[in-house]
Amino acid sequence: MLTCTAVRERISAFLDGELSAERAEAVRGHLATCAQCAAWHAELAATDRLLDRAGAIAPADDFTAAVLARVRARRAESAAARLRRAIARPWPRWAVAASLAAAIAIGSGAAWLTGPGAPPPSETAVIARQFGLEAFEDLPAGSVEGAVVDVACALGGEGR
Amino acid sequence: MDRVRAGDEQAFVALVERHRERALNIAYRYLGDRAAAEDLAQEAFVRVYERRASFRPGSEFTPWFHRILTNLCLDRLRRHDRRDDHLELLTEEDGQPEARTPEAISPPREAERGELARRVRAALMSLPERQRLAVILQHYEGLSYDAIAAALGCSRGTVDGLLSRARASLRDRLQEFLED
Repeated sequence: MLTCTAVRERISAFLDGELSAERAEAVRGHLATCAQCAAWHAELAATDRLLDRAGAIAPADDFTAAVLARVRARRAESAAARLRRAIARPWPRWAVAASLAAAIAIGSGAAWLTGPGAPPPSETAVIARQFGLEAFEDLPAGSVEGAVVDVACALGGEGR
Repeated sequence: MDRVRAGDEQAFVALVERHRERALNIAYRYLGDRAAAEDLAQEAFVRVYERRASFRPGSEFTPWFHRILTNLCLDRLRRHDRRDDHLELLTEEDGQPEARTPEAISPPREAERGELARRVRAALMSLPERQRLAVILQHYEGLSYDAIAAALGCSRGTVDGLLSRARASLRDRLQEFLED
């Protein structure tokens, strides 16, 4: 036969149907013979019913749209962060050289397209803009590749 | 969820529509503030999408979602410590939850219902966080003790203890409303 203390320890699980059949039967048996524990059980059951009076709320009409907007914004942030990390990474020398060659070719072509009157951008300016390094446009043109590599190394660590 | 894992946006939309009211009310009963609950519930779905690759195919979505929600709930209150703010908010007249089954009742009865709802929500908010979550998951979501334990990351025995203490506290706070 369970004591009142043991029953009170089990009352919550009993109310939730979480006791084994045997233990539930033991609790039931005690409640049938103990007025105090039966009253406690009744009060807890009534408290449970009161919880149903707390009400519920409905989602706003634009809830789903708001979720989708957040998902898309988060994806855009991730893509931007990946790009920033990629730019900050030190570039291997062969990649820098290839970019330099492409930038010079494009810069030369662009100068040709703008007409004979337009002063062509310097090689340094073309390469600096390629890497977003406008602050270094006044570097000597004699060692452009080395200058860009030095800057890339300074930004991201050792060059390769 | 398999289609969501494959990046199917329409499947994700359907998932949100199906579970949004549940998510919102778990958050609302935990935080006591509608705007915060909308924010948390939306964030839960964003995490579902971001972590879709970690969802095990063939397993049930709801327990996994409950874990996401409970972690967000616990993190939110730990970060912001808004307990006092919530208790103040619950004294305001705005933001009364809408009844799911509207019925014709007289204004005095409606006022009584509103007051009771407010007091019940206040009693819930007075519980320590984990007791409150346990009550929400057991009473409003109908989860088993094992499922609650999985959501909270604790043992079944701990869940039993949380609910026992919560019930006793709620009974004390709501004693005046208990039926004779």
